[in-house]
Amino acid sequence: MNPTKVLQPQTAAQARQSLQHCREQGWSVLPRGNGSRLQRHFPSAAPDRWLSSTSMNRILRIQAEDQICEVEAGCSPATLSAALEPYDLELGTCSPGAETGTLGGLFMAPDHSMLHHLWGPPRDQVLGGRWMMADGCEIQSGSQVVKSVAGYDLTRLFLGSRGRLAFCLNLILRLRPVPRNPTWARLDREQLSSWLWGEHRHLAPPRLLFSLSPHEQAWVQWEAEPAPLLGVRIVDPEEGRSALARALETLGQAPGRASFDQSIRTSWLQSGPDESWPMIDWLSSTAACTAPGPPSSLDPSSDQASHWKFSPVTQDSPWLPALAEACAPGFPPFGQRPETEGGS
Amino acid sequence: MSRKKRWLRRLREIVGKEYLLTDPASLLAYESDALTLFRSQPAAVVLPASEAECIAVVRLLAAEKIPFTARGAGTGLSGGAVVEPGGVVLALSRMQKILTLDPQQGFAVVEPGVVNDDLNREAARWGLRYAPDPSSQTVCTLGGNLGENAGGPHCFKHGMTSQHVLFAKVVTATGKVETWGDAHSVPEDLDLRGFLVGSEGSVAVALQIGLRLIPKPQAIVTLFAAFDSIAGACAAVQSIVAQGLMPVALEVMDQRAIRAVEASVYRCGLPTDAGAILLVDVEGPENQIQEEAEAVEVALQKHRPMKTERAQSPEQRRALWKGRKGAGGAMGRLGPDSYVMDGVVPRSKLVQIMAYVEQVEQETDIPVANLFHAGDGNIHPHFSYDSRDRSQADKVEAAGAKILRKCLELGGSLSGEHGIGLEKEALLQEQFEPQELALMERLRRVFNPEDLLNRGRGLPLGSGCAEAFHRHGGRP
Repeated sequence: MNPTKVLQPQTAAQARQSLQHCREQGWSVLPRGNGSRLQRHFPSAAPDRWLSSTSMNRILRIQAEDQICEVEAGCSPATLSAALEPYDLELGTCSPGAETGTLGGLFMAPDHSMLHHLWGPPRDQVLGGRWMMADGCEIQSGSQVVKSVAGYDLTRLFLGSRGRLAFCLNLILRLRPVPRNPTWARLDREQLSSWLWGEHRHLAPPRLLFSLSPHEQAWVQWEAEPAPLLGVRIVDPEEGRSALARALETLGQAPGRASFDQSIRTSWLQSGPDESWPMIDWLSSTAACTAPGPPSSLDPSSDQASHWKFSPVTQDSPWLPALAEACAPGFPPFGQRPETEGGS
Repeated sequence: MSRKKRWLRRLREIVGKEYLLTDPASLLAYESDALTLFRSQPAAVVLPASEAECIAVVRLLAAEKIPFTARGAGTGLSGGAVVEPGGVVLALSRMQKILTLDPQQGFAVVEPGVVNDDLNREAARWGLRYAPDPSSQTVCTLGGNLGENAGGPHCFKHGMTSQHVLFAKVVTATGKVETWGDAHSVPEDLDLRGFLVGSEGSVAVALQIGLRLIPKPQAIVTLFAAFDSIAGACAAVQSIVAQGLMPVALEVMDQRAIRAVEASVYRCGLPTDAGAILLVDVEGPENQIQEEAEAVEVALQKHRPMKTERAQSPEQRRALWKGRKGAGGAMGRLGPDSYVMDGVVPRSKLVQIMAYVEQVEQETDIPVANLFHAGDGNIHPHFSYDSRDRSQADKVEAAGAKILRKCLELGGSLSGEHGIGLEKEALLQEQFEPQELALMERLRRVFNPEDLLNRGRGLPLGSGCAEAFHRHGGRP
């Protein structure tokens, strides 16, 4: 990717000027963060210019008593995590790219969260945002309260659009308390089954449960130390954190993801998972794939294929053109060149 | 044959004579939802029994350009299911099948007319539950819950309807049938499912809804604390949350609400001399929740409660929650009519907004009872008044608007879970800028190009749409 093609506004006014300049030049422009997720989510995108949020990276406020914060879209998850530490708060996501990606990219892409089973997908942590439409108009969506049903949920619509409906300026995020006494352990395959479906699941529901290799033991983390449980080997928290870092790195670098259902989990536990899945998040039923899309051995018309969903999605929604026109009537949508030179 | 007679005959052919209502006595029940401030007599009510019938009805109404409004049980509290005069109510209460309940995958697929509690009862057989629990859950439908993004006391931890809808099969206002969302994965493309939830029935009509079910907890501890004032209860909520504790519910009731409950069939032994009570649910594994419940109790003690108590049995726990959920009904005894408001503030502003509610009550001299989702900052002042007295009704409406404006001033929102409906459409212009409302209107037109589907609901279209409807229970 040619770095000279990336525009990095520092303010909303500069972003508006950038859009206007691109229109005047007859260029197509597409929003992005730091580019860490482009390969997965925009493998074939080639706009004339990228509009990056990376220079808009401030934490605008942390309202600890209300468990919310407001950040500029280019702020990295790691920066926010560090700022939240004194408040014993965290973002309710556990996703790849905390150091290299931006929060805007994390939510716009959207990425997988290993805390999905607790707090839902990353976008569920977003209460509202400030956006710039393709015509330069600024829109506030949602609010700073944890529940609001006033007007349409523009936040979810824009977040799922991967930047094709709006450029994200700011995000208002819901925060969660950090676990009080996180405890790590390792489980063999027989134990894993019990923690997924057996009585252990109710005795002490895990916060994280993943495997790094089909043949390794699984890693488990609880929010607090569970009651003494037979056969569970508590490990040093540092070991657990290191395993989690490897899991997120594997997930972030894998060319594809697979979401699978219960029947696949069962068969893996019986026969051992396929070598092509180097990281498995058991609680959210998501695996990293060594190749994008389904494995060649999987017949798409087979019964087994219905138990899988593969990402990235490569087809755009048929509603996209009409929605883009509604977002900025008469203006070239993000990712498309103006019809005539000089723009609208 | 007139045009109207022709389309009524076609509707009758689709659903059967018995399920097309046109006589004034039958239409009466469909003039309003549970907010009786707004009424409008529909031209007809049509009750399809199946997906195919529902699609055929929508396509016919679209072709004939008849405005129509989908409706569940009519328990909404914002006038969201009141059809435009001369329009048709599409009542989905006969579409009440639970189509799939997959205990292993943890999801259910339901028709829109399934009652919230019916799904819960079925899920409970598998050790599962559906988390959103509006107070009307014994009668409200899941289709209505989707339209309004319903909440409930236990949404503090588990989230609102939008966090539990995996997908929806819909028919749009133009008759197009599509599925938005997915049962097994987070949609990576446009999140139309997310846009649909809370759209107050103006984007599409749900035919099937895929819902996430979550495991029932191993154990639950319910406790309550009595305080001499609402401010004490609200401050205790702040302390609990500030300590990083995560109860599933944090509910406050004031003295008027407590006394109404204790004088009703929902009585559960609440102290009637308390200024307010705080009801807290903590759930999880047995060994962990005892520790958490103790931490909650320590946080409560800092605010000098008159009394704290743990429910000693599942029966007492159920009774406490029956009292809380029945409080809305119990308050019916306080006056001939009730106006239940819905506004939200940041949790840290609860004390301020409740002081303001008290000030407004004194100014209007109309009694207000309060029961609210304190953990979410979601207030529900209940005004008890007599709608036959026009000045009282006007005062209630003005008081409601003042409180909502104060919510906005404190950084909140006009609605936490009831929606905008007809009730708040004028105020929406005070929460959003003109360009934001114009954008919402254009987006609505993408799915609902002729604005036939729930016209004039949820957005301030044109000027004073609500004026087209009869207010204060009055009839033409």
